[in-house]
Amino acid sequence: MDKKNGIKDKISGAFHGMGNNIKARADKFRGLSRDEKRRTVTDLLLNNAMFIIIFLSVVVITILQPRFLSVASIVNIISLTASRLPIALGIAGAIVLTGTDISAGRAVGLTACITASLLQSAGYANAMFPGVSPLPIILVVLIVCIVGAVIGLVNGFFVAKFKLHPFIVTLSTQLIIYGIVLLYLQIGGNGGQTLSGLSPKYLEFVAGKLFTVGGIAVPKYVLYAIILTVIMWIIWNKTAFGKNMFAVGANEEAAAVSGVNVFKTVVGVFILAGIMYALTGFIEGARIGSSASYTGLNYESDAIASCVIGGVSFVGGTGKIGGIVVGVLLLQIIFVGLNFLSVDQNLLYIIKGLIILLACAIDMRKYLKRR
Amino acid sequence: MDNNNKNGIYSNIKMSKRAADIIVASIALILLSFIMVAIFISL
Repeated sequence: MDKKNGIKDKISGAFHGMGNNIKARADKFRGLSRDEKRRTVTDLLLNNAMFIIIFLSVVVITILQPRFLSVASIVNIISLTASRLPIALGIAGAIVLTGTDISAGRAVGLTACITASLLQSAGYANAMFPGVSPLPIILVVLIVCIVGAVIGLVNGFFVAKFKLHPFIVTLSTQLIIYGIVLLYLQIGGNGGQTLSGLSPKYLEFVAGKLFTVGGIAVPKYVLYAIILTVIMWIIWNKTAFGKNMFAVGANEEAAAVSGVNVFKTVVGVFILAGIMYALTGFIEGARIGSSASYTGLNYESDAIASCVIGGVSFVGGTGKIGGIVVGVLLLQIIFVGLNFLSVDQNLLYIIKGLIILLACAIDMRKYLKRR
Repeated sequence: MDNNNKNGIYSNIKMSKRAADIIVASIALILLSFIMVAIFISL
């Protein structure tokens, strides 16, 4: 009983504290001059423009299609968020280093195809390796992680050693990876076709039921995304590597003078990103149920948009894991909502582009103020 | 994390706060109106 009262006191205390905080802010706002008031309101509106737009869109979508807020729809949004979270967590590291990684989507495609080819059912007629039983899942995870790490190593090496901009390095590697995917799909009995007929064990391992909410199954990859998010949070916030990454992103020269090994840090960030893309590919193969050369196409644009919405600035050295999760979630909410209303897919590309542009403009405006 | 970047991609921008406000507000309005148009076309 005492414990219950203690929790009650804590909750009422928290609300009281929140109320006092709002009151103090309101008092402070009243004390401002007319010009300062206008600036405060403008800052509030423009800094949160993206959230306001997404909120308004969700309200309109919900009014027009109330099923958007059903359990099935919310589970769908959470599942899609979970499937896109690892790639965003990987690409965020590259953005923290003032770079980017446009090979991410193709890396997802390659790893998804490798996963699918190694985990096709033995009896499947059009199997890439006919008669070969599916490999153990853990071995396939290891193989694709190595492939992802090699892609990251190549990207990181050229960025760190030759001081090239990550854009041009990853532009070339994405073409190379795409070529490799197309060649890989020609192997054996596949003949460039979509890889399907995946092992039920693999499908169960990734997309099987974790638990049910209101009769709707939540897939297992939601749990994997949570685990990966926790791991990335620890790497970013509790390890020397994470601190070095932010130091290099904020000011490379200062970090080097302070004794940070810039080369190792940059290569490490790209390798970590590569592993994240590989895990995204592993999840995507089972989530979609097949893999093809177009798997992962444009995933990097969604991931970059999510990161920028979530506060990972292109100015470098800024970003939080929590922000990335919110960014991915918001982007999925708006796109699932628009798909719910059967909005033309072609229009979604324009909306996606405008979202990235707006997120960058808001970011630029924030840093312009500080000068 | 605090940002100490003095050589960041925005460091050479010569723009008044007001101009930046107008640019951000314009893009935000274009995006919002585009989403709304897309929604109402689909109905």
